Amino acid sequence: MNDNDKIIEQALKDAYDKIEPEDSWQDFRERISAKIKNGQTAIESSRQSKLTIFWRKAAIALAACFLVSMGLFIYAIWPKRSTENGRTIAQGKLFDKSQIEALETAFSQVRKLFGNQSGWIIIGSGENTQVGVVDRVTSPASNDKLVAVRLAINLEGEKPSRQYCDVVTFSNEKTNFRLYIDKDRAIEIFMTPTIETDDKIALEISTLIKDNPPQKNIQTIANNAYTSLAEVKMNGIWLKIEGIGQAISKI
Amino acid sequence: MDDTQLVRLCKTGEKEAFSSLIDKYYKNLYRFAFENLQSHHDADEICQETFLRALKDINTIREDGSFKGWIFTIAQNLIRKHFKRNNRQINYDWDGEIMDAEKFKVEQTEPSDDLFTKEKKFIIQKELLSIPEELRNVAVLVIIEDFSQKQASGILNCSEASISRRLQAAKNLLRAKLKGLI
Repeated sequence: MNDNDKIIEQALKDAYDKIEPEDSWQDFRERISAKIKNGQTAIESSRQSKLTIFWRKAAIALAACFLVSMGLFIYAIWPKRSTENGRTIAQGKLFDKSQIEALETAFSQVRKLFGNQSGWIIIGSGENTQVGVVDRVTSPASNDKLVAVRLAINLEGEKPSRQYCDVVTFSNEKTNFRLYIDKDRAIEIFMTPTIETDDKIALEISTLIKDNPPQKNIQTIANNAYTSLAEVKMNGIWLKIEGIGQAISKI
Repeated sequence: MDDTQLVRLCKTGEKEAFSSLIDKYYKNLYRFAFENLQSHHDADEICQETFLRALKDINTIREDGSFKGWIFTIAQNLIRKHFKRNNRQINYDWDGEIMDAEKFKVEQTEPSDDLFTKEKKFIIQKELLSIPEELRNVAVLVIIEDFSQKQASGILNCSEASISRRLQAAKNLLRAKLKGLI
């Protein structure tokens, strides 16, 4: 940069520095402050408005997340229920290990109450549990082999329903219990499950309903799919009984 | 406290920090706006609006960004909009040849021994205003406001090469115009 350029630049800077507002710098500074003060209020209200919109959006997003989670949860549990309703047990076994242990423990404790006599059964139906004693032994029971049978009782008609009961007994033990369909109606069931050589369950079942002749059926039931056992008509409504069974460890 | 620290404080909602930044730059910004607009009223309005926008968008400035460059860019954009509203255009993409200084006739006053007299400064200022706006802007930003050519290219939204050419052209013109004066 030569001297002339330096002089020009300095002259430009000096000239530039001479530029001033028409009134004064102080007045101009005050106008800026006033503008900022007014603007801050507008900015704050704009930010508030943005905040309101944000929270509104957040609430919608949370609701959407909740719905998606619920959907995923339903999806996760759906196959199990639908499979069961579709008469198939997905895992290939009726009970898992913990359920079997619970049944064995309960059966063992109940049995002890009655002096460890053979022929004890446990019936679980919904939230109700019945304990019964086999009144007579029709054939020698296999006291070292336990069997669990789950019965599904389907009531058709205007208000269709489905309830389950689990029966645990010794193989080849004849059980006799009563299932209440509702407050006034009950079905008497006589059932003898027998573990066959291939671990399948042969089930002899007789049903007795008031004013109906008894029905008897013998079926081999699987441990991973429901088998139709009986169909009876009760007060004009069809009652269908299905069964699924599994041999469990000796007691 | 430097600009970076002040900006950081502004982001935390410290009003005094923004006030300090205004104090630091309001004069420069006013002069820059006036150089462009040649109206005290318009320069006043543009500056106020510039600071208001800066306050509104302070959170968008980068931690390592130059506050001065950023605020001049806001002002420059507002000036551009102002010109557009008033159907006045500046050729920011100016890419003309460097002008031949000899082509310009300069009305000369009698040179004085003291170059920096009030009268001469007025003449220089007048000559600065007489050069095209697209050159003047660059001269103001680089020569007077000490922005680098790169920063000026950011503020004026054009290439660095264009800034370089324009700066050279502005200097040539000023040299020619002020030849008899210095």
